Amino acid sequence: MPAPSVSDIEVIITIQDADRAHIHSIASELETAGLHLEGVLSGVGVVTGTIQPDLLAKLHSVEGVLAIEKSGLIQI
Amino acid sequence: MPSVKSGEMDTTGSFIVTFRTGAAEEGIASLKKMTGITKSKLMSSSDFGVLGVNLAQTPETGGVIFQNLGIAVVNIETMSAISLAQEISGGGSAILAIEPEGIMHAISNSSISSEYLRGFKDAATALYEQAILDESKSINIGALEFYQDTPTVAWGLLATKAGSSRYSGLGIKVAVLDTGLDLLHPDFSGRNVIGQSFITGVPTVQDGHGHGTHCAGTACGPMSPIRGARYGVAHEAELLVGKVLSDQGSGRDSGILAAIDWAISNGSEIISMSLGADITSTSTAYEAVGQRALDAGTLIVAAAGNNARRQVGEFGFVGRPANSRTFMSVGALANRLQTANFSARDTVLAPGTAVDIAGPGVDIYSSWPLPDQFNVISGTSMATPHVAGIAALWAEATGDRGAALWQRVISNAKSLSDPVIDVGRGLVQAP
Repeated sequence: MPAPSVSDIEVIITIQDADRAHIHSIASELETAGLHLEGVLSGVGVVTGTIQPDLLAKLHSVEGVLAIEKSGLIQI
Repeated sequence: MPSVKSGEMDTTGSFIVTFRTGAAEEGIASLKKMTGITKSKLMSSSDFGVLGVNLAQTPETGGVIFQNLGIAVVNIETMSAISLAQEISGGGSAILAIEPEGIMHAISNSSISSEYLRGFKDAATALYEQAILDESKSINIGALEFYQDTPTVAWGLLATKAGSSRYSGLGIKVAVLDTGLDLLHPDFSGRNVIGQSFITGVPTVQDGHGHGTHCAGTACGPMSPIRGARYGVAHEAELLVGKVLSDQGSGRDSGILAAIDWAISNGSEIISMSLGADITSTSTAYEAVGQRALDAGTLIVAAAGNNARRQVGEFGFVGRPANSRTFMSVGALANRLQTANFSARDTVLAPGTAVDIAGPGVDIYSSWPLPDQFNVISGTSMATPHVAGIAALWAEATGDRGAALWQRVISNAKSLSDPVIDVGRGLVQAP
């Protein structure tokens, strides 16, 4: 797996309702696909991490993924 | 033009008697005693089976009890009904009320031509506009609602009735996700605050901005601050502080989602989020997280946004995460209960983008980091913790959680004349 680089983007990966129980194994699969894991939020079924933009497509092929969205900036 | 009876209801001569929930047996006994209706004359819906009550078969001088509804319909003399009403008027009886049975009519479209109606409508509109013009000439301040800070209480607590509620949020956990809290503020000393930072490289929730302290103050500030007016709603709630915004006031989705997860794991019934991004599109992650939070018994309340400039005709839009269906989105009101200048309107009109409810959000007095201690600021950020704190009061009062709590808070809002796209169901009200 490529080392983290400055061009990496941060992503929010929502896990399908039906697959939430396997969130940890899905997180491992996402890592194998190139994700640098930040958080496994089992309470809400979301995985966060960073990845090289050109590897994003591989994440979509991991089973149990409902959506992959870019993590954005939030303000007061 | 068909005439319409105004005010008076058409009645049948029978009366509807309502029994206190769970006290139908006692109520029926009282009813028989007070009206003289004997057992043989009082039928029951259970006598009729699944086909339901055939009213033609109910005794002329008796009535029928609807077992599933805890209600009876009785044919008694008006004088009898009046004396029954008087007997139960003091309260305490198993009979809650006796009311005349009314007649209802189908609401049908008029057979009058639409052209005629259009003319009628134009005439009515002209009369209405003239009436409004006449009214505005004599300024009728008395009819308008108007709130002000007093030496003892901030106006927002007056307008929402939070200041006079007997509930305090006792036993309820409220998580405020923001710039943190001034942990040295005297108004929070002795309060059990659980804090967690979600900003990389920042170990504590110490608030170096102010916004978080102000919001936490409105949501959960003390009954008796160190000095000055009361400004906090859920003064006995357990406060969780998630620092998801830096001291410069910004954060990332990843940190915010982690904080929501943390708040839910720590048993928060309410999460207050006075933050957002001016993005019109909704997010799958926030939608899913909001739903999962509700399912777990956590209500998330978020600021609708301050991107409107109504004085120049810009109405803005509800940004993320408030524009998720599953996040309760809060608009801001000024002290005459009018929509605040900056308060975002739902201009996108898609599922989720609605403003759900409104709260006091202009010139809101609350706590601030030392040395200032207190400050007055405005925003949908200020309206949000009013709703969050009041949701905690409702949670305490009713035991409602998640979606049921959402329903409870919304259905008890006070209707306003401003449109739904600005204020949602209306001004949040405390139990």
